[in-house]
Amino acid sequence: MTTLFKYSLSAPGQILRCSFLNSKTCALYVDNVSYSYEQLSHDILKLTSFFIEQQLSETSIGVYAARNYESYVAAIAIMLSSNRYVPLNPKFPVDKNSKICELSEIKYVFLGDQDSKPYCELHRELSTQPIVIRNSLKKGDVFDAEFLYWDEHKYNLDDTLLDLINNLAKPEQIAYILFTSGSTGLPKGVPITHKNLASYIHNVKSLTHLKTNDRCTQMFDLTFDLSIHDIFVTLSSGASLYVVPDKSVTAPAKFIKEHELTHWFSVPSVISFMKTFKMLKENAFPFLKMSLFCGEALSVDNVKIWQKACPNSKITNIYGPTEATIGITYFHWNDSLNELKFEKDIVPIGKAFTEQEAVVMDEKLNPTIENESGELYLSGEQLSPGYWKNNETTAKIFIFDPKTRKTWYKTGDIAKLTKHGLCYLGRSDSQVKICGYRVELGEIESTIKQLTKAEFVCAFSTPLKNENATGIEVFVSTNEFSIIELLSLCKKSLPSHMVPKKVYILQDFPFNDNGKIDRPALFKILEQKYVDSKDF
Amino acid sequence: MSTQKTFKEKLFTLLEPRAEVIGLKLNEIDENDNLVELGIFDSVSFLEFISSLESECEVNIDFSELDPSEFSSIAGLIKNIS
Repeated sequence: MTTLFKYSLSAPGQILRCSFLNSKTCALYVDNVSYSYEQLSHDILKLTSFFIEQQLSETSIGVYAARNYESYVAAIAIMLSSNRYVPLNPKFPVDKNSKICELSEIKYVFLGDQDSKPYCELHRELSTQPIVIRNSLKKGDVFDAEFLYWDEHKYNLDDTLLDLINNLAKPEQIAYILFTSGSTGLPKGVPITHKNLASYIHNVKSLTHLKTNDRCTQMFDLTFDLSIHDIFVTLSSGASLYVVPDKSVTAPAKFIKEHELTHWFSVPSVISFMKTFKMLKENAFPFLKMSLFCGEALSVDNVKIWQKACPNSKITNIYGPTEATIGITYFHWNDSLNELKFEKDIVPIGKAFTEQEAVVMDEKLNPTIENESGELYLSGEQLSPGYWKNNETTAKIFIFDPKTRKTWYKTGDIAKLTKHGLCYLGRSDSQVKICGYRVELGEIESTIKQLTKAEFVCAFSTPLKNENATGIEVFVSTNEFSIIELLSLCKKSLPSHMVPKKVYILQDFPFNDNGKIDRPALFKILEQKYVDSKDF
Repeated sequence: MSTQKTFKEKLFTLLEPRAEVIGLKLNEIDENDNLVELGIFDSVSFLEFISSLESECEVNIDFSELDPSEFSSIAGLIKNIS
């Protein structure tokens, strides 16, 4: 059978090949246990052939994805078997996970090596209750559901099976679906095909050049697409992936030192947290060879501090929305740039990977001239085929240009082309980034409206006038709820990064001449609150 | 002795409204319970909380050799900060 992949194998197929070549190397270090490539490939093959036996293909399979060993095995095996990996986040409220399950039509949920209690709550909420795939060691942990035990499945590894497995996933099939914040309150599903994924992995590996003795961080939640980078880039290179425990992810200095990790990948916010806690002394991490940052604007101040703390590390800023598969442009930082001035003091996002395009254009899709700002549009093999079962939004955001016969993804990011390449300037809408998570202020507003029946709700990200937000503050017109009641409601319905830090109850909302909520007036009220609190 | 009590008091004053949001009273929390796992904090707000404790109690913690997880219970905070 001939393979249709430009890069010879699908991304999960590359992991399998790599694990045969590096069987004794540590593939994953998670929960204080080290798993070799031999063990990993054994479990991937077992689970993949289990899916084949169950005759599952092109089926959405949810992974209730705490970052434990079995979740990683499941992510890879689901994609390898040509099914769709849909991570669910145990940290998300039941509401959000159940929306994801229903939107992606999940019929099976893989429940890894974890206590079933939090999942149970979700299971009960679902109108179509999925079949639960578990490890037979957990047979005692039952609840009202249909179970399948994957580890009891037996397989014989021979060339026929291997050939079958390597050719299951086709380039146009969906490898995974991730959900991002949608301004209407309903998350938007972004399907990524095997072709998209293989293309990104090929492109980014031209920057990383991992060796089998390299040790890489895994800090992102599995519902964040940057975790797909960690898994696929590391495990298709024969290097080791070190899963930073949840409790240390925002300030992982001790973990990184203890294991002398060589490759770092995080959102830039982690630099700010580590700085606050004095973890970034000069030469604090001499063994780091490469640091990648992605997910939000990287400030020049932070990059300089990072370079001092990791003097032997190359630093690369990566930019890209989930819709263009993890990352699509890159910029290498180096000390010679220290004295230069950059737009908004943000590290440039540079240029697109080979064969991908990132162009600043006006609304008529005409490229702007150098140094003129406009909206950033993306094109190329990494582009998702469009939102999951949402043709209306897809048509607005994935725009076909008859002139060039290309589809362009309209990012909503304002950028300009400078002599350093592309520079990010801000958003054209009310989307904000909190620790790399995309948050539509509209989603928070509509959720609070639904919860409280309040007439007017207006959300802001704070600190005000900062590219990277750390929190949300909200004005609500209600006389039925106290601030504490409002916050508890939000905690039950919104993921923690979207729960407001502060809520202000305001009966008299300001309006502009069009009868719309006067955001600038509310902005001023907030600004004044900050001035007052400083005076105090 | 008296400083430890003061620290605990300050800690409880800061913790109380946060626990209340998720419907918990401080006397229901065991000193060894993990405050992040209880849902009082997420990983980000927990760091901000430690930072506010630092300034409130005028202490300076060097985290370059410490893991924030060592602080994530009431007992851990008292042991490592006060």
